[in-house]
Amino acid sequence: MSTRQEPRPEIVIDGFPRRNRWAWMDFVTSADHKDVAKILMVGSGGFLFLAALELFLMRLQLAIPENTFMEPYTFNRVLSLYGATSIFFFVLPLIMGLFLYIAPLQVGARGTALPRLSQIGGALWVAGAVVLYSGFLWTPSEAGVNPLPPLSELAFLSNNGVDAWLTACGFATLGFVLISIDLTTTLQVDRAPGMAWRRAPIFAWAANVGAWLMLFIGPVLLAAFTMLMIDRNYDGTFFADGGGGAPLLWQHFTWIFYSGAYMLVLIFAFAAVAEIFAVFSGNELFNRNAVMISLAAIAVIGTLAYMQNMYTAPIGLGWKYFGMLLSLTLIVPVGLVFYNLIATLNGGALRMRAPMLFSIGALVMISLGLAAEMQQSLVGAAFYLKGTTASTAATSFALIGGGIFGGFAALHYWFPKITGRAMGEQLGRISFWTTALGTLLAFVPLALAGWEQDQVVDAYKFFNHTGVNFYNLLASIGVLILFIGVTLILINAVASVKGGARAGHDPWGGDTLEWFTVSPPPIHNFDVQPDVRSARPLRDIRAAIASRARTTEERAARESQPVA
Amino acid sequence: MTPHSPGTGQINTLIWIGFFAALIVVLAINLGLFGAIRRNRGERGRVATQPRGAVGLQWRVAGVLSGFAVLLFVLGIIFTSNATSTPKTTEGGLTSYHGEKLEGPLVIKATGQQWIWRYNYPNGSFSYYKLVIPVHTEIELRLASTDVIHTWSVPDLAPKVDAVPGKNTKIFFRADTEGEFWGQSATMSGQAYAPMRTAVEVVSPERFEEFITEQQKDIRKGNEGAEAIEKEKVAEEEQSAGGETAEEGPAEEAEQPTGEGEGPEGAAAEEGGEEASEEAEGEESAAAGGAPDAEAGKEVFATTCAACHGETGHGGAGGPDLTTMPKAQEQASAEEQVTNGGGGMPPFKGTLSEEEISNVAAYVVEDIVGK
Repeated sequence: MSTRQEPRPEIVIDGFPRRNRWAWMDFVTSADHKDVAKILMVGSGGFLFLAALELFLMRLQLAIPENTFMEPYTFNRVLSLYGATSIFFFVLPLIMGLFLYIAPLQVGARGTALPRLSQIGGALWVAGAVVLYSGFLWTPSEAGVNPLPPLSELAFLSNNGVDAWLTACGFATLGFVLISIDLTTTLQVDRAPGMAWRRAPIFAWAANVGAWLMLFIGPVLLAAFTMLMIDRNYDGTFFADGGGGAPLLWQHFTWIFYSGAYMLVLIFAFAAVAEIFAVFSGNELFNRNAVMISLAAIAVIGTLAYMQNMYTAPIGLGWKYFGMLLSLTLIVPVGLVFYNLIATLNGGALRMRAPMLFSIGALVMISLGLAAEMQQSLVGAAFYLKGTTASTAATSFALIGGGIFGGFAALHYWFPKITGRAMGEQLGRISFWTTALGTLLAFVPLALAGWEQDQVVDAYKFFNHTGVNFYNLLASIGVLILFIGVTLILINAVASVKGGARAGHDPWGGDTLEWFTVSPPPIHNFDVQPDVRSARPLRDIRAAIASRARTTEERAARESQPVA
Repeated sequence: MTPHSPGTGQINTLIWIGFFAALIVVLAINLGLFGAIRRNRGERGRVATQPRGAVGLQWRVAGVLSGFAVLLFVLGIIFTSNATSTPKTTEGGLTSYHGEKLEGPLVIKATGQQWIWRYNYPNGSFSYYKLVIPVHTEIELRLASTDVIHTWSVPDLAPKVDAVPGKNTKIFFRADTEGEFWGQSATMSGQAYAPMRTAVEVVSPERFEEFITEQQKDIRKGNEGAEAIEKEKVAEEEQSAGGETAEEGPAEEAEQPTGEGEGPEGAAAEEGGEEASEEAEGEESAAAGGAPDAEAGKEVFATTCAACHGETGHGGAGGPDLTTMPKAQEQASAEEQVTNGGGGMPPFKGTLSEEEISNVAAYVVEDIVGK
């Protein structure tokens, strides 16, 4: 047994007298990292549904040429809402929530180091969500997925929709930054005894890298939002042409954030897939040092490569080559991650359960998306492909692969830990195949429409006789299937909270410490903090228990031998 | 895309190189992944036996990947610099211009505004929506924007490029095929972003000179006509007599921006056509004389304004609902808005005669808002 034996004071919170309140009040006012993370994850599930619905509405408008289902301004409002919902209220909170729930458990921490920061972070995120979706009280933003000034300046969108959009996404981002401070501090100081970084689970390492990344990119976005708010409300000229403002500055700021967030999604998905591949093949992650270094490299290089989004902007050609250099440099760490993930399977005994399916789906979708991004990171190719639906398709493949497939692989995997029950396996398979089919059917035709016919992004209609009718119809059907698939996943998750099969404390035979505690974990996570001697602490503990049991049995057998 | 210029030929090649590189990547990852899954399916009783990986293996993989990245980077730079190099005027291109020898590229200014492109030619003439250029000639297109960021994109002829307000960008290209090429703005620019299209007509150098000369003449006439109307009004007021003036000269020559009116479908695209039909109308409405005539304004509205503001003026493809606009409440402010534009609306001074402007303003104020 690797538990430390010397006597030391044990803090027991189990018997702490509960205040006489409703349970939900305890939940929403809790500073426990698991409760805050649950709020983020449950919320992000709801926003996934809304984002998929908004995407479907937009595709309904774009199903046939010159459709008049939506007014142009309605389309732009849905588009702006979709951009905020999918990034700030679905994918990022899902990732931050899973990081915040799982990573402290994985390193054997009894809670987070700065729980109040996480609590405020979660509350800010909720506030942002409320602001965004109370947009029906005023006129919602019409400035698009990334509200580029001068379009988002007061002169062109004079109602307060853009202000609400900025406030909502700003609150959410500030929340993520605060949670990141808590997370990175916890992972730095609260790891179990013996857990050096080389023994820390890869998902906890990804949480650490992701939190640091958010600490760098979040404030950049907040600065940009603040400047635009000053422009709009206090006669500022940061981004307004004239008065010395520079519309391009906004692009630099926001692309740093969006590229970083993109990398965060990738890091998260790779790490979740690494955990799942290891556990479901019975192997150890192949060459974890290379994967750890690669994940950190992806965070740094991918964020610095933000200028690959600005190939058509008036910046010097040298900067565009610099962006291309960094984007292509990403091939090395991303390729190494892929190589080692696949090599993890070698010699394994694969159990093809739902988490495994979603992981494979994540890798396939991410491979499609990143390969297309690689094509578009060539400056000359982007002179044509940028701004077409081919670029949307590439980004969607990578982010749906990372966010939906990676996210729900992780959720399927850790759902028993969070709720004590397993997600439905049959429905999991059905929803996986539906979502995969929908994603392919939605975005492959869009990529072709963009490449062949230069169909542009974000347009509320397309014209007849431009050769894209069939592609758009297919894409709309694909998005409908994707929407159904996503709804099935969510139904599965919601139904399993109460109705899933009881899963026990360690249903998958995991190697990392979160499976050491009970499911769902108590408020203090662990009764005892185990000593860690390797990268697979739980395996050591199991082996120790088995050997002790064997010794006991042998001794018992020896002692009970008849004295003949 | 079908490349019709040297630059886009390079771009097309690079896209195919990128495509095959992407194909290799996708195949390598997915064949590896599914191969590994097939080989390692867990059968009953099978125990995982993982082979140990040496660090040297990682270096070899990283080396292969770096080689791949370097190869792509070099190819990317070669083809991009070819695509952005300035293509010189060749045989059969425009060499002299208004009798003067043309040194260097033919400079054309493209200005994006919500939601139409305006092209200024060197002799002072201009056109909306459609750009006419001579074949085999080096063109320097200088991009600017009067309001928000627009992306000028005519994929068959030139690289995409952003027109950012306050920044002057230029691209060089040379069209090698005569014909008409269409393009579409590629950055979300507000309500009528989708129909903000453009076309480039590539013609022979002779036809090009003819075109800009005609265009210049038309514009001059239009301006003179507007001045004549002004003078007439002053004279009329002096006489302080209503009377039938039956002067039909001024309005009919209202400047006709694009030469040919026909363009692909789409609201902004029709700009040229609208103005062409305006001309015919001018003759009838000009008879009205002094007081603004809402009846005549109705027709102007249907042909010019309805494209954005909708048939009934309650908003539609890009324009706001007029009944909610403060400036549409009174004749003077409405006239001013139509004349000078602003807030996303293009100015109609020079496009519509003053008479038509006051008529359409009267129609908006009395019939649309007044209702």
